[in-house]
Amino acid sequence: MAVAILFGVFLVLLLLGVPVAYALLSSSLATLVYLGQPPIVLVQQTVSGAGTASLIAIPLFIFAGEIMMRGGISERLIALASSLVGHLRGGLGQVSVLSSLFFGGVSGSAIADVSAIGGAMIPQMVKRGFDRDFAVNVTMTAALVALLVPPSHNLILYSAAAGGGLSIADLFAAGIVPALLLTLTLMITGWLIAKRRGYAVEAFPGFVAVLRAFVAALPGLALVALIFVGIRAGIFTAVESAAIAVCYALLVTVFVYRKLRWTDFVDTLAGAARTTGAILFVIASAACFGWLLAYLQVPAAAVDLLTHIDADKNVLLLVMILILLALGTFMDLAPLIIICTPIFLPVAKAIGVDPIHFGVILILKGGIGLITPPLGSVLFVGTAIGGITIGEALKTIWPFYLASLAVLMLVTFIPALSLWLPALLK
Amino acid sequence: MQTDNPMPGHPALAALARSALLTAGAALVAMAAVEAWQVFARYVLNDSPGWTEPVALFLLNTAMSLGAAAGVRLKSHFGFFMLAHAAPPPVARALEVFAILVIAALGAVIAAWGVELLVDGWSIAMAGTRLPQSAAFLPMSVGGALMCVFAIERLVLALRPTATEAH
Amino acid sequence: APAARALTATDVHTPGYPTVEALRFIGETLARETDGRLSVKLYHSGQLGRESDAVDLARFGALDIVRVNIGALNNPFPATQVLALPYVFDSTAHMRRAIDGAVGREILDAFAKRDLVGLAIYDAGQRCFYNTKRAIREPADLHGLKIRVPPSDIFMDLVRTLGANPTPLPYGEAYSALQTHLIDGAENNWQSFHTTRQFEVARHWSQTGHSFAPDALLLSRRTYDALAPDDRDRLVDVANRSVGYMRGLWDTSEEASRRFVLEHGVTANEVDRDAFVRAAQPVLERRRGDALVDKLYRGIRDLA
Ligand code: NA
Ligand code: NA
Repeated sequence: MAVAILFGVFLVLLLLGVPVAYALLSSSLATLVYLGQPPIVLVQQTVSGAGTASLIAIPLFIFAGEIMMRGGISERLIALASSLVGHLRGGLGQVSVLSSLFFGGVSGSAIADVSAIGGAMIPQMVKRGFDRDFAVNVTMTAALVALLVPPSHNLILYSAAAGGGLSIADLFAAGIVPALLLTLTLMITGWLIAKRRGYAVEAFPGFVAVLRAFVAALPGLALVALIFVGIRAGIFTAVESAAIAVCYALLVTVFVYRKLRWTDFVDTLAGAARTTGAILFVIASAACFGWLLAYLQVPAAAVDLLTHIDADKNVLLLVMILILLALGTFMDLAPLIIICTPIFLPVAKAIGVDPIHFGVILILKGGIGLITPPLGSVLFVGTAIGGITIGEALKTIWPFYLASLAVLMLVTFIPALSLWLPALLK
Repeated sequence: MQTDNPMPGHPALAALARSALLTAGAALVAMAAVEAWQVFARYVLNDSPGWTEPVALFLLNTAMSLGAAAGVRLKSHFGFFMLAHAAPPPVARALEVFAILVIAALGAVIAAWGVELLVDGWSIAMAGTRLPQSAAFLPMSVGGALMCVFAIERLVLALRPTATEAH
Repeated sequence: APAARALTATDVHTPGYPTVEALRFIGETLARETDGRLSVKLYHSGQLGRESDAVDLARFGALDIVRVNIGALNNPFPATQVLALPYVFDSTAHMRRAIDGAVGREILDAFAKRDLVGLAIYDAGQRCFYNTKRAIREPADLHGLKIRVPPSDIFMDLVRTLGANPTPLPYGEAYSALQTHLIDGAENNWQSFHTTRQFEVARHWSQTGHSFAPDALLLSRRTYDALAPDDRDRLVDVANRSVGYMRGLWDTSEEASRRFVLEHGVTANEVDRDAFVRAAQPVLERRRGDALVDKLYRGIRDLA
C-alpha cells in the first residue's frame, strides 16, 4: 500500500502538471504520513540529498558551460567543425553533429549544447536553404553526444546515485567510444537525408582555413584535455576539475577572447543559477523518495521479480531498456537517473552487467528521452530555437530516432564498446 | 524545463527573485574559488584544508535553494505540462491553481521544518569548519519561504479575473 | 500482550562484516526469545544513507537501531571523542576492558542527552596507515605524504600533527585516488583495507595502531519509550550479549583479512610506537582541555 501511495501520488501529480520536484516531495510526504514516520524526515532527506560531495561538480560544469556559451568558446568550436565538415553533403548539419562532439566535451549538458549550437547553426542552416525540420532534428539529436563525452555531469550524477563507489574517471572513459559511434551514425544519417532531399554541397575552405579555425578553437579544445588528463593523472578530483573548468573558461573568455563584459557575466550567473536550481532541486527532492524506496525494499523486490523471470540475460536487459525508455518519454534525465539507478542497477548487477557499462546505457537511453515527447527538455529548447512546433519536428525526426536507438542497442549488447577504453587506460 | 517567459508581477517580487538568483550565482563563483583553493593548497602549500568540502556543500545548498526558489517565479522547474496545455482554459486554470497550491504548501513546510532542523543542530560544530552542523538547513529554509511567497504571487495572478493565460 | 514489532536497524557495512552479523544475531535472538514478537529488519550496505544522517533519523524516530562509527558522533557527543583520540589504548584487550567497565557505561549514557539510548560499543580494530610510496617506521616517514582522512576534526588534526598532508575525500573515492596518485595513502583497519581492495594499489601497511575509534550501537529514545518494560530490558540484554559474539567474529575476520592481503604481496612493518605516541601528544593535550574528555581519559589510563 505504501508503495502504491509513493508511486501513485507522484504519477497523478506529475500528470496534473505539478513540477517533478514538488510531485516527488508530495508523494514522499504522503507516504511518510501513511507509514507513521516523522514528516520532518522529508526536509532532513532533501537537504541531505544535496549533501553529496560529487554533486558539487554539476553546478560548476553548468556554470562553465554558460561562460563558454556567452564568452566565445562555443562560437570557435563551431567554426572549427564548420571548416572540417562543412563541405560534406548536408554540410551545416554535419557541422552541428561535430560541434556537439567538441562543445559537448566542455559543456557536459545536452541542453547547453542545443542552445549554444542550435542558436548559432539553425538560423544559418535555414538561410542556406536547409529545411527547418532537418536543421532542428539533426541539432537536437546531436546534442545527445554531449551526454557521453567527458565531462558528463549526468555520469557524475549516476555515480552518486549508485552509492558513490563507481570511479568517475572510468565512467568518463566509458562514454567516449559510444559518443564517437553516435557522432558517426548521426553524420551518416544526416548525409543520407541530405542526399535524398538534394541539399547542395559547398566548397572545402582549404587547409589554411582549417588550421586557422583550429588555432582559434584551441583554448576550448584544450579545456577538454585539461579536464580529462587532470582527473586521469590524479592532479585533481572530478569535482575540482569542474572548478578548474570555470576558472579556465573565465580566463580564456576575459583575457584571450575578451568577449565577456560585466553585464554578460551577470547574465551568465543568473542563467547558471536558474539551471542549477532546477536540476539540483530535483536531485534533492528525489532523496526522500529514494530513501522511502529503500525503506520499503522496492529495489530488492525488483531484483527478485526480474531475476526470477526465467529468461536469458539479454532478454532481461532488453526488458529493462524498454521500461526505462517508456519512463524516459515522460521523465527528464536527472530525475530519471536519480530515481531509477537504485532500482535498476541492482537488477543489472544481478544479471551480470558491469555497473560502468550500465551507466553508459542509462545515460544514452535517458538522453533519447530528452528528444521524445511528451516531456523532453532538448525537444522543447530545440524546437523553440528553430521556430517550429513539436509536431512539425516529430514528422521527420524518425530516421534520427532509429539511428540513436540503433546505437543504444549496439552499446547495450556489445559491452566492449563501453568497457574497452576504461580497461585500456588502467 | 518549462521555458515560458517570466510573468508580469509585482516589481518588488521581481527584484526579490533577481537578488535570489544573483546570490545563487555568487554562491557558484564562491564554490569554484573554494574548490580551486583546495587544489592550490594541496600542491603549492602542501597542506590541504579540511573546510573546503563542507563549505562548498553549504554554497551548493545556497545555489540550489535560491535558484529553485527563483525558479518558481521564472517557471524553470522540470515538469510535464502537456495535459495542462491541452485542456480547455477553465480546466487549465484549475490545474495551474492546483500546482501553485502544492508548491506554496511545500514551500511553507520546507521553511517551517527547515527552521526546526536548523535550531536542532545549531550548537554542534560541523566537522572541518566552525559552522554549526545544521547550517545546511539555512538556505533551504529561506528557499522554502521564498517558494511560498512566489507561489502566492502566481496564485494572485492566476485568480485575477482579467488574467490571460501566459502560455 | 505487547504488539509485535520489527525494529529497523541500519549499518553501512556489507553482509559478512562483523557488525552486520551482530545485528543479525540481535534479530535472531530477539525473535527466538519472544516467539517472533520482536524482530529486526536489517538494512545493510548503507541502503538508508550515511552514518551522520542515520543518527538524526534515529533521534527523530524514523529508524530504531543504528550502527555508526564513533567518528560521526564526536561533535554532537563530546564524551565519544576519547575513544577516537590517538594512543589512548595500549592494546585491544585494554580497549575491551575500558568499554566493558565504567568508562563504556558513561559514554553510552551520554547519548541520552540527544534522544538516544546507547546499546553497545563494538570493536573497529586498530587504525593504521597504508600508502603507495614507502614503509612508515617513524613519524618523519609520513612527512609530505597526502593521506586520505575521514571528515573528522580529530583525524585531520592527528594527520597534520604527524607531519602528513590530510586530504579529505569520500570513502568510496579512495581507491581511484590511490590509483591516480591524487593521494599517497590512507588509514583504516585490516578489514576495510581488504574489502575496499585498496591493498591492490597501496602496497605498504605500517602497524601504527594510532586509533581504535570503535563503533557504537544506538537505539532511538522514542522506540525505547514505546517498548514494554520487559522488552526494553530484553533488547538491552541481547545487545550486550551481541558484543561477545561480535568480538569473536572480529578476531577471526581481522586475521583472515590480514593474511589475505599479505598473501597478495602487501608488505607490513612494525613502527617505532613510542615515537608516534610522542608525536601525537599535542592532539591528545588539545582534547584533554575538555574536562569530561580528560576524566574519561584518566579512567582509561587507570586500566592500562
Ligand atoms: Na559532455
Ligand atoms: Na521524453
